[in-house]
Amino acid sequence: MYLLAGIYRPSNGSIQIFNHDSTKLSGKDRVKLIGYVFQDPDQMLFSSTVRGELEFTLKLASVHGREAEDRIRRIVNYLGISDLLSQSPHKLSVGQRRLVSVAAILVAEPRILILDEPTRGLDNEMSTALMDLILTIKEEKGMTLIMVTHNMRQVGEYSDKAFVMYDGTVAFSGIPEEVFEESHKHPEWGISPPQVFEVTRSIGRPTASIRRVRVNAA
Amino acid sequence: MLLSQILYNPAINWVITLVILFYGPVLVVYLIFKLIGFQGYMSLFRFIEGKSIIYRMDPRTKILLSIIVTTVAAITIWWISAIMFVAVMALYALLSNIKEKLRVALPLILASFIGTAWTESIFAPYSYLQVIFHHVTFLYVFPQSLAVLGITQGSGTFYVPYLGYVSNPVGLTWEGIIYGLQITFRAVAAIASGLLLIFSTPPSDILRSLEKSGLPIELGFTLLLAVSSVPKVLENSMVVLNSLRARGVEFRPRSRNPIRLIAESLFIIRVIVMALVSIVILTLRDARQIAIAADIRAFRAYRRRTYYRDIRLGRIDYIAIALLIVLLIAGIYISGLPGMGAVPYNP
Repeated sequence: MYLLAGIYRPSNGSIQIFNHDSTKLSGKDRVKLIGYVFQDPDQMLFSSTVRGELEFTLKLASVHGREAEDRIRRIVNYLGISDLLSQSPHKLSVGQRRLVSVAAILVAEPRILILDEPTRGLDNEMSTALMDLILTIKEEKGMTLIMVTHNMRQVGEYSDKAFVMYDGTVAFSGIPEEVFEESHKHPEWGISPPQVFEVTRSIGRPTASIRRVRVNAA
Repeated sequence: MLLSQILYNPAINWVITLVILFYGPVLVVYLIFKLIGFQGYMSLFRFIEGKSIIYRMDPRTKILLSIIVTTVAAITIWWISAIMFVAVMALYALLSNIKEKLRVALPLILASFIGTAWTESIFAPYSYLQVIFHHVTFLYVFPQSLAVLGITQGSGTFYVPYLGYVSNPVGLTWEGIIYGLQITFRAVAAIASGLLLIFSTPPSDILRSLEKSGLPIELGFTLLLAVSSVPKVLENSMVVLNSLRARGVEFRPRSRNPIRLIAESLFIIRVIVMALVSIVILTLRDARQIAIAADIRAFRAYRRRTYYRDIRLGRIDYIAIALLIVLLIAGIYISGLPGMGAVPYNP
């Protein structure tokens, strides 16, 4: 993920992002192309106010003046954190800090968004709300979303394609249902399919789309 | 002749002098970060389990090893320290992740040698060098006015390459380099033996051994926390710097326009200050969690604590302690022999 986000340089070869060599991108171009939301919001909140945090990203993306102000207004309204703008990010709840960290990246309007364990430390209700929100943004903005997670329910419900990382390599890739079908490999990979998948399989519809279950439930 | 005119042209002389004065420490810091990096530093302080004899030894034996090696290194001639350093490094072969440890330990040791030799080549007092080596060779002479900084100044007339005879020269000496390398052997022997304890002993066992040795538990716990928090602080620093890079921060100014270059440099300084605040917050949060964990486990609730896994001196320990006592006695004896004691140390 660090390589993809341009934080680390590959020891050999190159990474092409939308026909740009990631190693040759300037910081300004990188932040507009690819955003990375870290696992722990405290690792990426530096400013004394939420507004300062968003302005910091915009300054790095060379977005100034009226456009910067518009973007801040849009993103805080979107995420429902407009009343937090003057507050210190360090005094907010875990869920609010998570939203601020997502806003601090989304304000640059990257074309790819990487989320590292986005719902870690959040309760079930907050997790679902955040994931639904991120999914909506992805669909509206046409962004590519890459999510690192151990939560198989989220993999089933929110992803189009899943990659199983095991022992430093991609052990398997496919649509989530295909990953869940590989039951003989699950103990080795350390994953267990979500209950909804087990239910669809037990009623004789093993290939039923669990994403459709989410859509129906919504 | 031409070379002497270039080397000792007043302007070039000042430039070379300032480079020698300032580049030494910078080179050491650069070497450490380039060769080891944050990850390397973190693995330096991290215990990884192993099964060899060094892991089965009682921590008190390893603490004693460290104390005796440091003591003998301090009182005997430098090559005794060099032998002890090699012997301690041979024990590193018993560590389970030897490659990783050496990848970190060797650049650190190399940096210690370069740094100390560089410093002593400039700052070793002339009187010490005269006592130890009976002869001092000036390799390069600095402007005379720099004598006020405490730079080595010879008394008398000396032959300096490419310059000729100079009276009371101020500058870099060959014997200073040798002296620096010699005293580094003392330091690295002590450091290597101390690191061996950290590499091969679980933190809880170190704490238990300190307690059994009569050290108050609070003090032992504080010491242990200080050591074990180093990798955590480094990890926090690495993550925070990476998150800034992910936000588009570049820690190297790119602009060729001098005014923009200054502006970029000032911005980088500002960002680093912001990062430091964040690192402090993360570190305090970790410290709070450790305090809560200690409270939950009833730390200091009773005067005496029991341990699930206690440490005990075994046969290997008794043999090792006997060998260490022999080393100490031999060290004291050798230090008393003519010319075998420690040379004066000038930190």
